[in-house]
Amino acid sequence: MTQLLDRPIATGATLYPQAGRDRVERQDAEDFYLQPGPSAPKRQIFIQLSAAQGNLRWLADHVQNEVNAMLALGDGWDGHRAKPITEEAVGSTIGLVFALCDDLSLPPQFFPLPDGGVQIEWHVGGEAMEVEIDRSGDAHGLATDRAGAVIFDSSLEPTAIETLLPVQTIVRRLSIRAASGR
Amino acid sequence: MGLEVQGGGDSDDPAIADDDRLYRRLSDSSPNMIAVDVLTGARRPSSGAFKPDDDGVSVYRESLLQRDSLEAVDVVRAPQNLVVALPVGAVRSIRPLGVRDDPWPTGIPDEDHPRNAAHALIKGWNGLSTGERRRRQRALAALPSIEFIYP
Repeated sequence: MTQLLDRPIATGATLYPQAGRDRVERQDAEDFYLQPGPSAPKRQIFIQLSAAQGNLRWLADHVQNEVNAMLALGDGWDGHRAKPITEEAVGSTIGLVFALCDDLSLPPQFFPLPDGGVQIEWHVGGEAMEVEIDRSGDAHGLATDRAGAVIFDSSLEPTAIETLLPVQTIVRRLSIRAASGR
Repeated sequence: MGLEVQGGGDSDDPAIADDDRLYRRLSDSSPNMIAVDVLTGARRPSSGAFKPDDDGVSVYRESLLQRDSLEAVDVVRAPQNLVVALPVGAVRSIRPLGVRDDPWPTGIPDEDHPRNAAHALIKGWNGLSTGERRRRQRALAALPSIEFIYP
């Protein structure tokens, strides 16, 4: 069964209000036979953009696919004691991605964290920008240059644009480098 | 590395040799834990793959696996898993990180699997600020000596 999160979880992102029935897929069939009893509901999001954000549908689709893959992870997804990704982490992640990226941005790579958080990363020519969002939704940015020296290390507040400006600048620079191939 | 923080006394077992290696199980899809440089194509573990839980970062000691006739393939749990190896000495160079054995951890899948006799933890995270912790995770992920050994 699929459970769509039933409220907006980030600025600029709204969700389908009604739960829909997923297609029955192979995993559902395996769950039915291998795990007797009702299986845990799948969690999914759908990002709905405002008219002004129409040029970001590609980014919304990318984020949606990555987030929904992480929301499908259950307890112990790392083969150890990892926890499922939290809705708080997902909400902050979506808010941050749309605050940091524009229609020319390189989209981030997404990674689940064992505490139920999310990490997004950009890597271009040895430079890196990494943002950790913990299970409660608190974010921290860390950037390194080509030599591995730390050039940014600070907490981030998704709704306080002044904390995000340095990261926006780094993401923009990395995006330009990626586009130019240098 | 220039990462100098006073470590706790119990974060390292000096009896574990520097030339022993630590196996860390990762995944390259569902979930992906490998970051790719879009310009160079270089692949390395995400620093998030080294975020410690309450105990530390879960690893397996190569010498103890070999003692029990086990290898990297015995550490994987799913077809999409891969295994990286880190030398103990390289981990210790990222102060104040260290290594301690943690055989037969409980509350994990496959508790009775023989690989768990070789289970160990990368420790030394206590007392670090978020930034200090993340710099060390990043340093672990970027170790030149890190090696993809499975598949």
